[in-house]
Amino acid sequence: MRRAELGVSGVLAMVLISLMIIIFLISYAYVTEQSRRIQALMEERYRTLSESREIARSVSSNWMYDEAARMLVLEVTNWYREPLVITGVVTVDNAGGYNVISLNTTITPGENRTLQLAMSYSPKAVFLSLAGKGPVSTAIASQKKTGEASAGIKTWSGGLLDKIYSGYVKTQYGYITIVNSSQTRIIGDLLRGELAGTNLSDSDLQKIRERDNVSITKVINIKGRTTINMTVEGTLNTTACVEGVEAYLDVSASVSLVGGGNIFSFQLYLYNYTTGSFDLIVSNTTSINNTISINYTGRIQLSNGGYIIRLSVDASQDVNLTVDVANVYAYCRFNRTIYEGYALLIGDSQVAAFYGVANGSLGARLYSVAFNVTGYSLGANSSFSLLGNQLFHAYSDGSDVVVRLFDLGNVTGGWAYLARCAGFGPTDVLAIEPLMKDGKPYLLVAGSQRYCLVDASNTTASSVNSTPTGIMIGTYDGFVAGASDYLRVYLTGINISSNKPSIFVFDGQSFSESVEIPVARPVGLAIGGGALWLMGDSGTLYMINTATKQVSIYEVVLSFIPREKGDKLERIDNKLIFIRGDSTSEYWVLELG
Amino acid sequence: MTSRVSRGVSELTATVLLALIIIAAGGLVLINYYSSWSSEWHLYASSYQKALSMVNEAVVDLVYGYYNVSEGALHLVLSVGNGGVTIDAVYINESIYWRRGDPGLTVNGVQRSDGSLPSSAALVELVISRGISVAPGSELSVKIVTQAGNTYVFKVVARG
Repeated sequence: MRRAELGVSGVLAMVLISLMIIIFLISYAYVTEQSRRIQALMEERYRTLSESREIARSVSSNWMYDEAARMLVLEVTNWYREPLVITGVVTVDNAGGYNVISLNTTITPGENRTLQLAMSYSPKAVFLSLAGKGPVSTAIASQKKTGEASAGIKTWSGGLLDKIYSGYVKTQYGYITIVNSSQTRIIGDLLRGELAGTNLSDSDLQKIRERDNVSITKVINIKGRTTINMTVEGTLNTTACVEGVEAYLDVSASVSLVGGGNIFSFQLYLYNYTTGSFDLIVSNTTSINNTISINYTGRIQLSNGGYIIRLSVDASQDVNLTVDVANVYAYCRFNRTIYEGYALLIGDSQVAAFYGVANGSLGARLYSVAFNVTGYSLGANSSFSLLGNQLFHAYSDGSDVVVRLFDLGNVTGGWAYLARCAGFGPTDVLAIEPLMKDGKPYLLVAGSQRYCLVDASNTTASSVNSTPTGIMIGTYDGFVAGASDYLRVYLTGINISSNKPSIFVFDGQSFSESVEIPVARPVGLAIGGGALWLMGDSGTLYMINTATKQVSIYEVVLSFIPREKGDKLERIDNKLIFIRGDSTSEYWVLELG
Repeated sequence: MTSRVSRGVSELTATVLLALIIIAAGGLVLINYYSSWSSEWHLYASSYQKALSMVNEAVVDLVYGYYNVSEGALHLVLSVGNGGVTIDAVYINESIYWRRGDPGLTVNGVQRSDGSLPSSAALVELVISRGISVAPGSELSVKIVTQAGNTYVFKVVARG
């Protein structure tokens, strides 16, 4: 009886405990699953809002008012990856009143659409309402003007570079003189020799391929006037040469003849595929019945194609012929002035490219230099600058800032170590700008609250200084722009004392002045004509008189809002050039009035 | 004999009482746990439903807007996405300016006190006439709270 009672009690207790465990497990699983689903929904919501920003950035648009037709002509290009619907247009008049035009126009990715909307007045501003599958966005259309003055900016126009720049894009304008730079690169992997129709042995060919010195001797009996064709040929693909590099064939051939006859000519030719004939390289003629030789070392400029060298011997009697064809090489040889003048350097995290500038206009790309440093993000912890023919690149490795230089006069030289700002530490922004001090070139390397002045002609490590109290270079979210007139360096940042965005001026000794600016996120700073030009990420342009520190505002409503980080505004002659970046190849030229 | 029977009855009674106490205690624990779990369940279910409603609701973006001081009206031109949205309340500088059911809201020129906006992507003009005292030129923070719980904050300027 007692055992039965205990058994019943035990079973009851176990049933109750099991029930509690089961309920606990079910409720735990339910709560976990619900939390995960709520999290997924929140992520979906965030993604939709992020896409809204992306849509605004991916649509370029401009408008023009046709007075005669009383028509608003709107050009819209969809650079977004999905079709977008223009749900309407809002036009704002001079008094601030507005007019809403509802639309339902779909534009496919990459499509450029022109809309003509009847309108009785010329608007002051035009806004587009856009909708994707889920997100919506608003784009500001820029006014397309032709030659009329507008708040100091006469006109602006856009163009496309031959290359797309993405991420943090930086520019630097400077004067470049590259004279007689040289590089050598062997092109064509095979030069094949053949003498009088007899192929050279495999071992001889191998030696030629490996550029070994090899003397190939062939003894041939020549009777009468005979031409011996000794060909050294191969496909010399000069397109393998880098941009702006010319191809050359260096020929060092030696031939000797021993004979008893009356040799009267002895010549070395290059077959010229452009003219279709053999061009004489060198010749020797003798009537002496003896050993004579011909030696040639020279350079022949090549255009694209294959080349044949021919030795031609015109003999009247038998001769013994010894030929050395070992030293026939083809080169890309870069030995001329490729550019002398003003150039704009445009770079992103991967590469810096040089574009020639003539008469205030951007010319063709000259060539590019890869940074070849991975793990460093331009602007955040890496930056570049130009001083004379030298391109400087600085990056923070977390403990030091390393400065390297690339001599544009020696494009095969690669990057060389210049100096180290030891103990600089990690930085959220990094700017490097050139200046002259005591007649010597220097580089100001600055980031957050540290800077160092690097002697551009000395590999000595530079000491790191703290910026004066209250000065922070760059913004908290990594926007920084700089400009230099070589006497002073201007860098954007935050005046920590007032928490106001400011431009700080470094005069070669210290940060001595500052100018408060109405731009929280600068995307470009340029100097020229006694003024600083500053563009903010909202697209507004400011002119700051460097003498009076007076700030003038210029509304430049480009067909996009310059949002991405970078330092990409330059003053060139009487124009401002803004490189858009944003994973596009767009550039904009603003002609100052 | 009597005493054995009497002891047997006492032991049976004690066993039954013990079983009843265990059942009652276990039941109380279970009821208490169920009660707390049930409220948590409802909380999560309601949170999930709210999040689902927020996601399914159309996205809103301000295209153009200002407060007209002389009219005493807030003008907002909104870009509204697919999915429909109902405005629950509009705040200006964190003070309630309009709430669902109040008069004074026109959507594309039509009086609509229920705050509902078109369900497919569209450009929508809202005018809310609920005059408040603001100085021309001042910057106002306009907060729109939707029925699903989404909040949008825009800056507009008060014009004379």
